[in-house]
Amino acid sequence: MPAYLLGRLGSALLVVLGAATIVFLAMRAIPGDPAVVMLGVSATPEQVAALRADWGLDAPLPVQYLNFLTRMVVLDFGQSIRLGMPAMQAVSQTLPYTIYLALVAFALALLVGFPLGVFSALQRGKAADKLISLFSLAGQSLPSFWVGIMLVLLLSRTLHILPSGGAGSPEAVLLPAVTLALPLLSVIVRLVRSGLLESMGEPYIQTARAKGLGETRVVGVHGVRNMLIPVVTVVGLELGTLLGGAVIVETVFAWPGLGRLLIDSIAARDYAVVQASVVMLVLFFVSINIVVDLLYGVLDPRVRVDG
Amino acid sequence: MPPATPSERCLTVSDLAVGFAARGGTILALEDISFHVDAGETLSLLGESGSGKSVSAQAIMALLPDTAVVSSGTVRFDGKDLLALPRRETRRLCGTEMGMVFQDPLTALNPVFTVGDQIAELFRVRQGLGRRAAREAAADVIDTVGIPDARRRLGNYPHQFSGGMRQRLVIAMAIALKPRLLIADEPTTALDVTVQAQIMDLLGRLQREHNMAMLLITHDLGVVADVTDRVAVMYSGRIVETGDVRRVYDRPGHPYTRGLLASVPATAGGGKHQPLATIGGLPPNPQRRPQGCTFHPRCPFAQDICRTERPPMVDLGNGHGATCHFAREMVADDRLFA
Ligand SMILES: Nc1ncnc2c1ncn2[C@@H]1O[C@H](COP(=O)(O)OP(=O)(O)OP(=O)(O)O)[C@@H](O)[C@H]1O
Ligand SMILES: [Mg+2]
Repeated sequence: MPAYLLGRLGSALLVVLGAATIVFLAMRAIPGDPAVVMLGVSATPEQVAALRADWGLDAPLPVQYLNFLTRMVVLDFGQSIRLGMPAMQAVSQTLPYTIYLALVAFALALLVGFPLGVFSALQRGKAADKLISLFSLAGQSLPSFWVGIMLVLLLSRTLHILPSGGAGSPEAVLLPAVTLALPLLSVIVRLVRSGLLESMGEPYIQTARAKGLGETRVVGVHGVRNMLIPVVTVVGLELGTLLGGAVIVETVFAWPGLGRLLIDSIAARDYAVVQASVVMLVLFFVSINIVVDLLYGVLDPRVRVDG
Repeated sequence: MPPATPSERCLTVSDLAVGFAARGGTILALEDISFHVDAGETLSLLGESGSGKSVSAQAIMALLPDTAVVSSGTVRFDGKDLLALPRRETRRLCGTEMGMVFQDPLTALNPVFTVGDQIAELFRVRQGLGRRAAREAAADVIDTVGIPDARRRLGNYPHQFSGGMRQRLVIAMAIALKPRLLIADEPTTALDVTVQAQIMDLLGRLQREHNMAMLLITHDLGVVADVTDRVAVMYSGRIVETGDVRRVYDRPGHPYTRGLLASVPATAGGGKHQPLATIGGLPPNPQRRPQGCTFHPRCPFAQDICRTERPPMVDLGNGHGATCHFAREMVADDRLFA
């Protein structure tokens, strides 16, 4: 087990390193000089060169890269040129908003998606099942920004029930969370439905019935417990997509999270903040994956490493 | 063997017919199924694949899928007609009054729960025992079915046991609450030859100890000869012959039974695991059963009447019967049994 975990951590580190490298190179490859963005097009080449030297952008690329990597180890990504504070500080101010939004969306997706999937499976072929299938198909295929705008138009502009953006009131999280949750919720509905139908067709379900257990227990314990294995695997992977989706949803709803910070920082060519945000997002992503992996072993005794 | 008095009767199935909804009408999987099993007795349901053995068991245990329709018949158990009861009521008898052993022990156990939990579940849910007491009871049952080191193995998962051991666990679950009827659906088919005899011995021992009625489903003629009191031979959803196993084996009244027996080498008992399909042809498609006797296209003795008229169950005395127009001739013809 420790050997397995070590290997897992090793590959996770490689992923983080790879992502850091890509974002480092990508930022420097896209057109647009941060100094020019800051000073405006009327600035003289001397002014631009001076500012670049200030930020250490005049050093050769390999030197910049090594600097970036060595300081990354202690989570120091340098100074934000746009915000005038350490990049990590900007990230740690916005990250809680993103985590909060993602958690609310995740809880929503689970709490609604799971029962809906079970219900759909039990109603297989009936009208309710078909309706739910249609709903989850739509939820998976409609783009988040469109759903978000529709929700704003309906619930904020027309009905005035919920605020359209910002994080000013406790209920402000609802619209972005629903928008963010919808694709994951739909995936969960479909996975739970098909997983439960599959496990309900297994012979051990007949064994459970032959033991005289009530149908609630047969489905709720013997069926659901086996269905959890595929569901947890995919949901774990989809959590990463949830973080990705947050970038879009935060922009639509003006939610002050890491996603919006990232978009704004890319526009300003704020290298330090972009690098910090991406590395932190990737760190989150790989941590979730490791947790899911471990959970998989807990759920399925057949893959558990003995001893 | 003295004839069973009605008081010993455990299970009586009468005129059972079961169909499955399918495209282009219903498939009649069972028709005119009647048999009974007494306490302490073993009745074998013998027949080729698809003849309706498992559907019969499922009908008794209320395990039929939703697509199944019971179009007629009664299943009397414990003075009640199980088919007239709501499914929920019949299920309450499962586990406590009727136990079932399934064909494939590899899939019959839930892979994600320890075997201790799966057996203790019976005591906890069905008998309201506490955790500790249920675990003790589970250990006792596992011990009873001959799994060594029972207490320690409670915490193991099904995949940590061999096929034979898993079937012992399935049997443990079936008999844990001491049911009066045990249905075993091909309990040894999926097992190694060397283990098959051990499992049959175990079933026999448990049956004697608890005086259980046993309905043994099999296509293994050797198993039938070894452990059975009476046999009911099924062909294409019907019972074609029934009676004491010695009588049926010595003097089969149905050409199908004769064909089955002829396909086994003379050394009965040693002739296990022979395929049954040495009778020419295949069983009919249940959606297009032939007119008259369903066996006539494969029957070497078929006459004109067999093609037009469905044979009744001919009483051959002492509870022996066969659905063949020429059953009496079959039994009387000594040359056939030289
Ligand atoms: N769920 C089902 N839906 C439709 N038809 C079914 C279903 N289950 C069984 N049947 C049909 O009922 C008939 C009897 O099947 P059954 O499973 O009882 O056969 P069996 O005698 O147990 O065979 P085997 O030795 O292969 O287990 C078959 O013709 C089969 O096609
Ligand atoms: Mg079967």
